[in-house]
Amino acid sequence: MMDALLEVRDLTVTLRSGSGEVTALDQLSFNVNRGEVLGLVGESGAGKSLTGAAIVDLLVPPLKRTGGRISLGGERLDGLSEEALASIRGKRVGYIFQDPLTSLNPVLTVGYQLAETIAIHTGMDRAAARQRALEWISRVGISDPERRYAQYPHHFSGGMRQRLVIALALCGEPDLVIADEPTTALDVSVQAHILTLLKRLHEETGTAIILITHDLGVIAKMADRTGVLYAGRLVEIGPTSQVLLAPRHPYTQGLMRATPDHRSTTARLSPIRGSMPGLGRAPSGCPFRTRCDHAEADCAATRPELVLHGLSDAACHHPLGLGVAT
Amino acid sequence: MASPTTGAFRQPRFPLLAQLLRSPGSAAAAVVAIGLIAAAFLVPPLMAQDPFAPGGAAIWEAFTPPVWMDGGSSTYLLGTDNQGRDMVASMLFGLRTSLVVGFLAVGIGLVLGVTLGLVAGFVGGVVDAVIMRLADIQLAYPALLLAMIISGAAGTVTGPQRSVSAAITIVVVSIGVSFWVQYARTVRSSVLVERDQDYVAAARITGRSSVAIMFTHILPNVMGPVLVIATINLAIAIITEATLSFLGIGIPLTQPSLGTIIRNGNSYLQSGEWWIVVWPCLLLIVFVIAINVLGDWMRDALNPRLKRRG
Amino acid sequence: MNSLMQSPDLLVVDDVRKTFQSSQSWLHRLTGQVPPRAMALDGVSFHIPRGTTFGLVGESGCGKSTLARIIAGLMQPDSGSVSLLQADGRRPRMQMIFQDPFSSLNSRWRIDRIIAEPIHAHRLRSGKAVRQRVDELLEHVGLSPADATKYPHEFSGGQRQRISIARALAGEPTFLICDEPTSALDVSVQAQILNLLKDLQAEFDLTYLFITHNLSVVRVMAHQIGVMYLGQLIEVAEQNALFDQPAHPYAEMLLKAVPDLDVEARDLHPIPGEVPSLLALPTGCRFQNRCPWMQARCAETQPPMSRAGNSSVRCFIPRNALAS
Ligand SMILES: Nc1ncnc2c1ncn2[C@@H]1O[C@H](COP(=O)(O)OP(=O)(O)OP(=O)(O)O)[C@@H](O)[C@H]1O
Ligand SMILES: Nc1ncnc2c1ncn2[C@@H]1O[C@H](COP(=O)(O)OP(=O)(O)OP(=O)(O)O)[C@@H](O)[C@H]1O
Ligand SMILES: [Mg+2]
Ligand SMILES: [Mg+2]
Repeated sequence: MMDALLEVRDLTVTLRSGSGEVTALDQLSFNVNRGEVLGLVGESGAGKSLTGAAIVDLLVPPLKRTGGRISLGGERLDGLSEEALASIRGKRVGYIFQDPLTSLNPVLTVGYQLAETIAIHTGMDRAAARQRALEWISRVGISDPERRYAQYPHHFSGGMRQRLVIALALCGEPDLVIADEPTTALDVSVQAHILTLLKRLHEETGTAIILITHDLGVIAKMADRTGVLYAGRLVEIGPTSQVLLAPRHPYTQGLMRATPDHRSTTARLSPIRGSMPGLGRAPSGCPFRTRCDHAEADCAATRPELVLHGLSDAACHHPLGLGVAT
Repeated sequence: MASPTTGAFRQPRFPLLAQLLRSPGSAAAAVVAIGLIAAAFLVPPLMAQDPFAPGGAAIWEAFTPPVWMDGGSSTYLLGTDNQGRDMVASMLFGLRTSLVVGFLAVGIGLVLGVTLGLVAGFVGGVVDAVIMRLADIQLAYPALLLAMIISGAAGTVTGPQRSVSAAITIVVVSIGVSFWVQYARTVRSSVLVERDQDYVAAARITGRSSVAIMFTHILPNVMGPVLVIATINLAIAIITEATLSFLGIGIPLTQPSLGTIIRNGNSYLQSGEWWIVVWPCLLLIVFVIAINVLGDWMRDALNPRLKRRG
Repeated sequence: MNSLMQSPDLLVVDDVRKTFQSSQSWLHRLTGQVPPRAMALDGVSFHIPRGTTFGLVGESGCGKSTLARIIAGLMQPDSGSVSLLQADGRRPRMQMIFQDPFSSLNSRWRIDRIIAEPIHAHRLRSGKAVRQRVDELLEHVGLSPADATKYPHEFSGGQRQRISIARALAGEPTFLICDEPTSALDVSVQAQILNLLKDLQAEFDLTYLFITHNLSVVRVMAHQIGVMYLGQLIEVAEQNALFDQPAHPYAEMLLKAVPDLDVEARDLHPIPGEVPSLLALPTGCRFQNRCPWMQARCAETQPPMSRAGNSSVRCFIPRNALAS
């Protein structure tokens, strides 16, 4: 069943500044199929959050979507009016923001915020929405919902706030959830609990999920397919098992190597050498070439396009694991 | 080592200005408000004659109607008043006094209110309770009444023969003091939110003093709403001054202000010399509306919730 | 006091307790009832030898950040004490990296001003050297000196976290509290930062309190690890002992819940059961309602901290004792 729910073609986001324009996302193309979990990983600052925000047009100046088509269930999202988009957000696309504190209004009780959101998306009356809000508070694993309902965000620990944000995004029961690092603030047990909850809701309702995370373990457990972003470009995308076990792009391989493992002692980790170029400072050709051990002359000359190598697509002139060498 | 800042993007240098230009109504209001303020401060010093100086007015030209009416003169576009003073010139002089009163009053209210609000929010406890109860008590009196009480009370001290500068000081202080509550409340509630943010904790750990944290960290974060209130308060201050002066407990008639000019002109409304009172009233209304439109726009423009995240 | 002067410990936390007033409703106020207090920290004691890292892991909401704030002096404990002492008897210079990269930077300040604040506050450098140091720190955390003139909202979450790390390092602390310093970072930048922290520790004999949810990271960083559950330390162990032979059932189950890179076995293993409310803590062991090995006495008395193998543990039937 390869029924695309979300189609993104050539998504380009630019940053306008006094001295011209800088490309922040460069012609991203990918699909999210109905009922699928697509993982997104990549260097911090690579553009993962921007991708999520661009899909539902939450970008604010100086950032602007300057190209590309986005359709959700066959309906074009780009070019929709702000009102039309506002009704899609929350109702059809749920969004879990990376930043748990500012997603919650500090001066309103969390219960009020949940009930309000539920009332808007479902048209329930106050009492029913309150009841549903209490259910959601305990559904995300916070005990004592009656007391918690009346508390303000700063009364909650970081992890609890994150769970509330998840409840806020899911309570409208949307078709697609964009989850931007939903569990980074949580301990592994609560993380497992939340991911199981996400998975269950995803199986029950067929909600597709775009899961942005830095935790490759989470990717391994959750994502059907995984995309890797680097410096505003999609450098690899394919089935999760392929991307993690047989990475084609040297950057993906670098990520795998830098991942620590709690089952063995490591004195020193192995980061990828150098650091990602800042916005608008990417080198010519392949943006990763200055940090890559396999770079050759052609990497500087032409920009590699995303091409199918075996089971996954990679944007690399010298994809790994294909040649006879080694 | 230090690499040049090339390739990097910058914030637009005047983001607010760019935003303002996108909203024609507010841009017009800004032009009117700034234009009037500039005229009031720049034109009077350039004039050859101060119409309010002794012998500065041509008494024989009194009651000249505006230029388009019978008997009008092109020297006095909007006519002259009972003393033969040019209406345009008097209004600019008047507006200047009103603006000085307004700015000073807003300044007093702002400094007092912001400081008390910061202290109340940041220190909390008893200090907070005392300051906020004071605010509650003061709120029970309308600003105008409070200003009347203060200027009345000051009057009993100075006696009826107070000097012009003493009168102005009393008006400024009494209007200014009536403003502090609004600032204090707004600042305090913003401080309560900001106080718990981790950037404040970071500064504490680094050993910055409470005073330094209040003024360098928290203050810039709560100034947005304060500026909005200040703008709207400028309009209120000018109206209050006009009202006090009109009632005869503000600025003495010898000193031009929008209030004294209106008070003076009011006597001639019945006898047909309407222009002496209508022009200053119109000026007051136009200026106040412009300031309020500008304040509303600022409220939206400075609201961080309306320009959130990417 | 004298013994403390000679102790090799930089930080000694002794029996710290902290409760929070749950918010007072108007009904409470009207009836004059005192609302119940939530027990956030209940008798936490541990110490960190100079030049080592103490890792702190545990359930989210169990009080790790509260403990960090108390140690940092941002909050007063209800009872108990925190003593910080350098070898020369002075108070060590402290810095903290905060969990939330969004609220830990002042949005009205430029990055260079943010990072330079501790440098100025401690008068570490002056004039041009400040700017040089800021550039150097930015490079250390994988950003570029050109970023110095931007404002926080121009950065992604992970980039902000790196700015917050650069600020903490700018204060040249001898004691650094890291509250989830790398959770917002990708694994490569994380590796870079963790290596940097280790190098600084080796070079300047720094002491770290390292709070994290990432058990792999804590294994790389910490010499000693404390596991917290509901406001209590329930196990303190040497680095490898915890991973090889966890003593407390909670620690064991926590390790099982870590998602590994195996794409075939996709089940996650959350610890079953609900976390009890801080307002209604059970008598006896705090973990009893979720523990598969619970016995009658676990419900009656609270297990004291006691030695078991290479760990100190609050459990009557520690898991590592069974194994050996
Ligand atoms: N409002 C803005 N103004 C200028 N630059 C911005 C703005 N928002 C984001 N950027 C830049 O865009 C790039 C991508 O940011 P984005 O938030 O998408 O990163 P990310 O991949 O989500 O990183 P992280 O994992 O750290 O959250 C970053 O380099 C950031 O500096
Ligand atoms: N200011 C406060 N007022 C009331 N309760 C609070 C306050 N701060 C924290 N708490 C409560 O204390 C408990 C511990 O919070 P803390 O932030 O220390 O947890 P944590 O272990 O750091 O969790 P996480 O890993 O999710 O960050 C939580 O139940 C929280 O709700
Ligand atoms: Mg992000
Ligand atoms: Mg915490």
